[in-house]
Amino acid sequence: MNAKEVLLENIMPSSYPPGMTETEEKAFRWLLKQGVNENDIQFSRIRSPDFITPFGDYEVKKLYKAKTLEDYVYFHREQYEKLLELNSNVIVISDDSDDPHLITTMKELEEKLRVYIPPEYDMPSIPLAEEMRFLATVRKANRVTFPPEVMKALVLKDGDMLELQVRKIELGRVD
Amino acid sequence: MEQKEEETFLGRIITGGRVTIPDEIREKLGLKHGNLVKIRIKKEVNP
Repeated sequence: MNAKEVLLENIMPSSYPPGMTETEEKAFRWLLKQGVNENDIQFSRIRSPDFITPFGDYEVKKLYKAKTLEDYVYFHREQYEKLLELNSNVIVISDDSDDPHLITTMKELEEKLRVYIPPEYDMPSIPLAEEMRFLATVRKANRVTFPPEVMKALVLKDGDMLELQVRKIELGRVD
Repeated sequence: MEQKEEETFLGRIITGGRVTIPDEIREKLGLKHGNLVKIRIKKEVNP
């Protein structure tokens, strides 16, 4: 091991990005050990892949150890398909080690490790509203803003045309 | 001009979930910047 490797081996992040799991923290340290600059690592706990670096993107997976079956990693169907299309790198880490168990790409993952994707179930559909009322303030250029929950409930998006009924509310008046 | 209490119009949602109240509606209701309004919207199933 040369001097540079010794230095990298001991490198620790100044802090961990918020929301990181213990497994992701191990992966973060591993990326630093590979010589990736801390400031060049973008992390998101809700996006896949988890880490984007100038040297590629990395999804972190915990290695699950099953008693009767071979060890496996877990994906949601949509996440798996997206990462496979990107052919992201995968860092697989188990609870009992700080170092990765496996580093590979999505296209090669299933050749090396069991991948578990739970079956999809038909969820009962949630009835969506067709009509809603809300209060708004008239803003600059005569504009009113729809609250996000109204947009979501009516499944509205920019560009949609709607019939609006507007009533002025006088302060102190009870409708 | 006699002010109406309620008006209906067709509006298009623009960026950020905003809709512009047309000038004629604003005048009919006597609306100005800062006024509070109650809005009822109906989504057409097959517009």
